[in-house]
Amino acid sequence: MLEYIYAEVMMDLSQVEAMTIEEAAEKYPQQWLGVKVVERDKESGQPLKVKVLAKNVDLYIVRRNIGVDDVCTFYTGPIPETNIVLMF
Amino acid sequence: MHILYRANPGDKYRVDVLMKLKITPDRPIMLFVRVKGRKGVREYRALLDTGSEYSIIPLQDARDLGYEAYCHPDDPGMGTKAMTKTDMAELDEIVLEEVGVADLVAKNVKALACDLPRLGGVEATLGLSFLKNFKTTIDYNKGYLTIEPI
Repeated sequence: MLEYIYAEVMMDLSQVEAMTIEEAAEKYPQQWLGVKVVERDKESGQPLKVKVLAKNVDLYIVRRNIGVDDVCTFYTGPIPETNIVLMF
Repeated sequence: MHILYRANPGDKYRVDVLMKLKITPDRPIMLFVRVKGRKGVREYRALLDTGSEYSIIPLQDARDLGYEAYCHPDDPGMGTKAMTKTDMAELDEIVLEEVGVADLVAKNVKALACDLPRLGGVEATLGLSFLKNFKTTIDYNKGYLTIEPI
């Protein structure tokens, strides 16, 4: 079940708390987040602060529900997860 | 924010644009990448993959963004053959309208629409189809990845 933090029909985005990527990862560990980026690092262009729109352990559920209006998705756990190595 | 368009050799670009990202040895290089389609924009934390000809975006997102990605395993011969570590797969090859990292944006970037194993925490990769438009430096001595105009 998708747990909405924010839904456009329910709440004004301005009322949603902005937090750093690290804070979001700490608050919602090992989950996929759908977020709106509100501040970026000037040197790297990488997101600094975000507003969390949705969270779930299933990426597909998050993706399907956040739309394509310049939203960002990422995993808050270690990449790769402990005891897994990436092999492409 | 200034946008750099540098997909074709003749395109104009800003020479003062530079993306500089801190990296750590022994860790995969992950960076947020924006992908644009005719229906919208999505941003991913993508894996930098200097060994891959193509970039990869999730199949569902490709469709959501307006790309025609409907290759099905039951219809062999319709897609692009891709070699993985253990298998051959047939995937949709698409051309992404724009792919951007920070102020650096490339147009017409070849990509595959493919769902990566979710356990890895990686949903997209940034391959040579994007990197070929820029000068990319991985400097573990200084601890930075830099991407800049050619």
